[in-house]
Amino acid sequence: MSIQSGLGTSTRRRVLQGMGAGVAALAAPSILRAQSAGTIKIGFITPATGPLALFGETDGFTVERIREALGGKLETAAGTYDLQILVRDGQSDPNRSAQVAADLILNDEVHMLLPASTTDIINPAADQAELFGVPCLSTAAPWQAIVFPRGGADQPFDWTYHFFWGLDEALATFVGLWNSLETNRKVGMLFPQNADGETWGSTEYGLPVPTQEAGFETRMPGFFQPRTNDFSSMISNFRQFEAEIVGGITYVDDLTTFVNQCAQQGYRPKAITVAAALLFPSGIEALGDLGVGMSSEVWWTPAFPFQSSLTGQTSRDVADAWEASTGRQWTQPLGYSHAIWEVALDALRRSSNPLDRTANRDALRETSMQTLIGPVDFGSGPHPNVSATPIFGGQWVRGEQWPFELKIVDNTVNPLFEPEQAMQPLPWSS
Amino acid sequence: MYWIDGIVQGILLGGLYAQYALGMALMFGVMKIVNVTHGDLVILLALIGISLADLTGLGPWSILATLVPIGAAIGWILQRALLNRVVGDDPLPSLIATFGLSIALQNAMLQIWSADTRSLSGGAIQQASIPVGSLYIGVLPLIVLICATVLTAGMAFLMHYTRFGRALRAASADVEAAAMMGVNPRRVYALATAIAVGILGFAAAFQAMRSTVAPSDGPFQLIYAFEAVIIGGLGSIWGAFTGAMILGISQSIGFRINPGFGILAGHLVFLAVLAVRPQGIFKRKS
Repeated sequence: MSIQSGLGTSTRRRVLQGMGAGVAALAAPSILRAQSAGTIKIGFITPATGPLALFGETDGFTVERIREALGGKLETAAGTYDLQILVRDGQSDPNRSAQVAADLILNDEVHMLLPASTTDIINPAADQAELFGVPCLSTAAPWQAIVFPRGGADQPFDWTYHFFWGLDEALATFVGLWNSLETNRKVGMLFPQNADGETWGSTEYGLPVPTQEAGFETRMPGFFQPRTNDFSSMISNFRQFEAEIVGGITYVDDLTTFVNQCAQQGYRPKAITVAAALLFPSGIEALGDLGVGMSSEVWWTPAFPFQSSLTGQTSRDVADAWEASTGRQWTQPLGYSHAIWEVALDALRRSSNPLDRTANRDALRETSMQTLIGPVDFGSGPHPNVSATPIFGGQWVRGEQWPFELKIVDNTVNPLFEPEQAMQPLPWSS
Repeated sequence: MYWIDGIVQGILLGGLYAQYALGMALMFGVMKIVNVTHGDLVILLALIGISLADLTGLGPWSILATLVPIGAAIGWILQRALLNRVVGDDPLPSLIATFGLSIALQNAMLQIWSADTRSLSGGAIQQASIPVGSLYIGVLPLIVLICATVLTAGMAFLMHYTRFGRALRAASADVEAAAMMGVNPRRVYALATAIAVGILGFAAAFQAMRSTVAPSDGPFQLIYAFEAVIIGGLGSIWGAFTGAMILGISQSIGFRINPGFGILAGHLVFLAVLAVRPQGIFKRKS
């Protein structure tokens, strides 16, 4: 019922849009002489509150910087336009995200939709964009999680584009990290019983596959319940197996319990490499002294040698601006929060008519540029709607300015630049 | 050895659950209040403790010693300001009030402390252990267990051998008769909640040391407190302790069968007890 009425609205709307575009095209010469050729509206959805708020923080910060840098105007190939950025809080909730996306599209009539980060925010908003025919750009979630659940494997999307690394590359990074250490090549695997854990732990396409192919032996005692209070059974299992490496995906609370119990039980592996938990500095700080030497995949750090196409800032500059403004350490999503604006504004600048959704989509599709996080190019991706971005292996070490700093120690997946230092075994390993 | 280790680790885990369960057993036993805020209060106290440690540089044991009186004060205010208005024969008003408070408290904590996951550094003791044969007994879990046992014994003593305990039991058995004998039930209730939340000060400090806390974590540990209290028998102090041990051992054995089965094993034992002995293992005396 709701789908039918939605389609009805979109048809009527498309007719109106077509008429509007026609009028705009006829009136174009007189508008060009005026200061502003109209107002471009961008809808921006971010998880500002709720459990994903840590991702939203950098999004919110960056929007303010972009607004300041542009001063409400955008120079494009078709003239100078006023720029209006409408920020909405997705509240870390898929239903809320779908709601605000529809509102932005239907009531605010945005010319481009940016559901900035996380699967829970992107997928519902991208579905709305696809339904109503609005160009949509997203990032900060492994691309398979954006493409496959929405049926993108069989048929490419018309309106939605995504740039981020993929699960397969993240897995290869883990193997790269472990290859650089001297071990007995036995890996104990740690996966929670949830969507992330089952994806990473899959014996068909998850972490065990590339690990075994690289000649490591693996031991997977089973999927643990998130927020388990006792890991002693898994630890004794890993010890029996003599695993010198622990790998997988966990959240901060489970990793802290696990690592404390490893130390209590006298189990001292040489490397602990997990996704998710080690993304934010607060996660590594929660581990205390045991956090030194933990390793994980790296999205972006201030050591990335690329410049912003928008502000000319280096990665270091962007991180410094964040630290000076918030008084807190930079986080990895910061680079992507910046890059999404580089890509979106670049597309609008190239668009033949930034007030036309189809023209904006066509410009977006032809994106091929260098951003703060590396190259973004929708022509060369693993999927027509995806540009795969670089990923590295990193290790947390004692820092000078902050308690811990993330250093890039492996570049086997994307040899775009040299690692900062070599991978070290955990200082408390036996 | 594998299974003996399971039982030993299960008993240690039970100590943790006993700390959660004790306050809940007291509040239910005396006032028939099911305190849904229980888990959130643990998180609130833990976050206060972590902030105190950051501000003052106090060690974990001083923090623990500070959290207990802070908890008691929070409990006393909570009962005086809110729960005394909803306590009565009907358990529903207090259930709804604490449910609402739980949501309000989580959002307030999110505002104050943000969504960051935090922990309290316990120093070397976090990783220390005592090797016994081929087993390792963690020092921190052992301290948790000892604290839980001492607290339970202390509470049982308080209930049975002191004037205050008699007042508590009297108010619990028949509040009107107790009032006629000169017991002020509102004061007794406030003290009972103060003790219950004060005990959570222990749970909070240990939770922040052994794992992490974040504002939305409260409800996840609440379920274990519920189960321990119900397995042991509603309102019984030693019952709650025993219930916590049964829950801890069931989970630990379950984890050894399969890491995904442990928590379910605890729930299954809980359901089995409900089916076979719905009044709990320790029938409530008083």
